[in-house]
Amino acid sequence: MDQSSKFPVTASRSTAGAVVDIRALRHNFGAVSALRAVDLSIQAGEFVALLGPSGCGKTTLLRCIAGLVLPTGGEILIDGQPITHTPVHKRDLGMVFQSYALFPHMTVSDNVQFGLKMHGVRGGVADRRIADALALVQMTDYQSRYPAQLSGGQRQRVALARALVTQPKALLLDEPFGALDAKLRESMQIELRRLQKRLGVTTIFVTHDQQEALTMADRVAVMHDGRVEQFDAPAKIYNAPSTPFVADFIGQTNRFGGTIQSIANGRMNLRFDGGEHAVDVPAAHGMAGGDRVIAMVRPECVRVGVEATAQKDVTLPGTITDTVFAGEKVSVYVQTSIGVVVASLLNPTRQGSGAMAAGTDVPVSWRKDDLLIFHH
Amino acid sequence: MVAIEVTNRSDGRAALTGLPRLLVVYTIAISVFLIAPVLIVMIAAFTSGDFIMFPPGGFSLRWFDQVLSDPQFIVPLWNSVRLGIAATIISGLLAIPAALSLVRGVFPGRRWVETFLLAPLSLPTIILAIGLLFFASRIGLSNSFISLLAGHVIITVPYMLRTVLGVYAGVNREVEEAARVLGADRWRTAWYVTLPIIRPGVLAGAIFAFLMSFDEVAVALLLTNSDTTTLPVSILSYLVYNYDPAVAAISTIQIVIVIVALLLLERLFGIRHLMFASQ
Ligand SMILES: Nc1ncnc2c1ncn2[C@@H]1O[C@H](COP(=O)(O)OP(=O)(O)O)[C@@H](O)[C@H]1O
Ligand SMILES: [Mg+2]
Repeated sequence: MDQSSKFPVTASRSTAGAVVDIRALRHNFGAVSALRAVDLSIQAGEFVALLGPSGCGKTTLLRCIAGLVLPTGGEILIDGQPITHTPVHKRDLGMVFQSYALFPHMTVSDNVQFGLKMHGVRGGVADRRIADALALVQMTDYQSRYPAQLSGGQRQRVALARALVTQPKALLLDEPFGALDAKLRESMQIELRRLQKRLGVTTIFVTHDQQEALTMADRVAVMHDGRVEQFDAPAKIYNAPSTPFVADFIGQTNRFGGTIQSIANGRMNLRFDGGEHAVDVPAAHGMAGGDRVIAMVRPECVRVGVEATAQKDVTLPGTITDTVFAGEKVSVYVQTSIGVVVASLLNPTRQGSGAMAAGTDVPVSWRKDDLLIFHH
Repeated sequence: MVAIEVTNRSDGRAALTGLPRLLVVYTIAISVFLIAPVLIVMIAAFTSGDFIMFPPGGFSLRWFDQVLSDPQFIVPLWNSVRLGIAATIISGLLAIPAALSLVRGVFPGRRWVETFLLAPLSLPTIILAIGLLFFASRIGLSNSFISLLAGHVIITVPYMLRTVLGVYAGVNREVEEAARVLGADRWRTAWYVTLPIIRPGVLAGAIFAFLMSFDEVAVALLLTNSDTTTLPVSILSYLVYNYDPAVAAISTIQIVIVIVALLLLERLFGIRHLMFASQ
């Protein structure tokens, strides 16, 4: 069938991936609301990460899409077709579980064959597709082993091959690399992303690891308490978080209380609590004079010491209380009138060790463009 | 249950090396105490004399010859084998689906169903036998093979259920979910995935069930007639009037059947699948 392609797993499929639409999806476990009106529109071939703290409903959402959980309300559409009440085995999806969930009594190639057998694909066609899928995850040499005879990373590859061999409309993964060590995890991430791009399969990837979500996904859906707080490209999620939760959850932030003193001519004046420091910033949507706000700034946007004086937007005098070394970065904790400010500094040797010692008086500063301001 | 035992076993072996000497002696003593009577009976069966004695007076197979040509023993032996196999199969057909739904199912009264099915374990079999006798004669089935079989199924179901429950409760439900996502409906998931995975539990349960039926006395005593009498019953009634090595010989045959059955099952299905089910 596919003479030209090296990987017929994809080539025999006319459309690359399916569109997945989730509309007002709700789910309750008894009194617990695991999902509260989730909306997500996922494009064909897109790689989407569901990111959020443990218990926020990621797994429940994924299991609703798979059909393993029947949602309390709302709708799921694949390529425009409602599938909310379609039985699991008729949805044509691929799923990779955190526990791998390989069939322990079957060899690697029997595991991969299973989905084909259930779809009535047999004989030479099936053999070729099994071989292709195993080659795709570099497990060809292990095809007659049992899962118990494989390492964690190898099991995960088999699980991936098993999920992809049926050419699913979408691939669902629930924290697939959670049990792997850091090194292996990173190489699996790269491998999965490469594979996904080549196959063009719509992919929904659950993780609680922000690094993983930001590096792999086309778009990240940040979930919190059964809701999607923001669904955006990784850079947008990081640089322009739309809620304090997203700003807090992704990366590190300094968080200060403040009050809007006045608004005029498209600018507003923000005064930080605990000090006389005020700053003029572009007026944010829906703010009014007197509003209480949360102002945030990323540690890597904060300058300390000599560098701080070069920047004029927000400059505060302070005293270093702590310096924490973390490899390529150093976190410097500075006590100021508006609270403790954490600065993350690159290449600390340049600063000279004495300059960052605890007890040293230093100015800290940041550009007002780097301030993230939210309603309290 | 079996899966857990396997993991524990390897731990236990590691711990054995550090056992105090006294405990080793104690263990050997208990083993001898348990096995010696069986061994003595088996050895006594090979006597050439007319009486059971130990050590046996001379070596011969004459008592085996006699037993194997005596319908008084051979017919009950076959009855017992047939009854044991039938009871095992039927209790499997009842207990396996029950175990599957008890572990995965969410329905009211789940606990009660489980307790009910396991209840015969704590019921003296003589009570069960008497009850069955009255019930069977009331519905006109007394001394039929059916009522005997029913009695043995009641006795063997809990053994089957317990072992299957034990193994199945330890099976990751995501494995079955994976099968369904891959296109298998519930039936095909059960057939291709669940049943093969719980096979160690089913086999262990089947062995237990067969052994329980094979030497069950109370129900058989009350519910058999001369056509359906089982081996334990015929040995008992033979012992009432006789005390010769024929009993030792037929007992030896019974023991050998059990051991061969165990070894065969272990050889055919046991080791490999026990290993992979316990990963
Ligand atoms: N089977 C269940 N029964 C009851 N509550 C559940 C069940 N599964 C999940 N929950 C609850 O639903 C919420 C969301 O769970 P989950 O989707 O597993 O979160 P996540 O995958 O993001 O950690 C949690 O509060 C969890 O305790
Ligand atoms: Mg989860």
